[in-house]
Amino acid sequence: MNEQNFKAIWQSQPNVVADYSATQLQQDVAGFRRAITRRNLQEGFCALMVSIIFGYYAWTLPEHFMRIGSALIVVGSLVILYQLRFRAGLQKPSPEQLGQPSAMYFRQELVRQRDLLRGIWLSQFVPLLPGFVLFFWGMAQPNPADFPWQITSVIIIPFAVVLVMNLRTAQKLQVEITKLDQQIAE
Amino acid sequence: MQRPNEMTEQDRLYQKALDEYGAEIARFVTGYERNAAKRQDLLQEMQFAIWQSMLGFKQQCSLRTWVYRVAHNVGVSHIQRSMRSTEQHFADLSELEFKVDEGTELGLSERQLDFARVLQLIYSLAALDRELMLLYLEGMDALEISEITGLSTRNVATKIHRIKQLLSNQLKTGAHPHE
Repeated sequence: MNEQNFKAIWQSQPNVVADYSATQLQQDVAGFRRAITRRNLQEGFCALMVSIIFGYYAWTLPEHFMRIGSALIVVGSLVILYQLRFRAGLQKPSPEQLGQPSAMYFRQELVRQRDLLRGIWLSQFVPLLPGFVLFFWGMAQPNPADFPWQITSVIIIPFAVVLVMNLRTAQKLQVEITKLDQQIAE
Repeated sequence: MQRPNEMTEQDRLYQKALDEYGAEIARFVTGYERNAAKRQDLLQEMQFAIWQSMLGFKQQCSLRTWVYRVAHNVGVSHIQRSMRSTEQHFADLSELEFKVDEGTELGLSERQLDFARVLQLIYSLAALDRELMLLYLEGMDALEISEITGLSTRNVATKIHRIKQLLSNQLKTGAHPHE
């Protein structure tokens, strides 16, 4: 057998095409939009819950640091919500991007994933950090020696582990990007 | 205002693309997903992306080139997602030594065996090399592949040469499985 036979074998596969009609697509787009709306509502609901709970703390707790911290946590959760919306918009490739030559499209995908992994701690952790620091500091008043290390470590250690894992994956993606750049330049 | 079942220019282009290149798109899906049950989902994802992309198609290239690009871009993203979920390693053409798992060959006809060998080779390749192999198997030349992938013609030609070597090795392995 020669290479032409391989091509012939490849091209003679049984045709499994399902005709995904334009009408069906329009219906699916409507379903897709409903799914996005549902996800947006879920995210909004979570942000609302955090806002209500910590807003209530900010209003009622007697300790100043805890009150300010609670208010900052509310602001931080709203910032995260905004970023989730912003990122969701960025993640969807435009019609022009979809039709790009594959090497360029692949590179963009890798860069997007790398930047997402590098920046996730900034977008998901940092907005809540000042609020939680002040809140826990307030819990330790009037005696700072009572700082609740156990509670804070339960929050901080998983974040640190995820951060390190993300940065390592981002590093691997960077290696792939460099290899791809060499291929494109050849 | 557009009525629900009225065909737009986007719909017409999509339908044309599906009529002319539907079979090729389905074959690409086979090259990007080994699980038969998941192929249907990937095929729909590709078709959906092709439909979406038609809004950006301004005759920058031929319809075929555009459709192939979109299909492979979706395929590449699919591989990326699979890699994230399973931590698989895919080989570059330069590091691949072809191996056939003879244990999988029992009970298959010669033609099915050859097809299984080609598939096995395809599934072991990294994203861009896999795309190149699929386009080569569709009978495209280096210039056409270069237009779709964005790699230089010279680079594509080198890679095709390597693919031919791999297929040739595979042929030898298939002809003399116990040597």
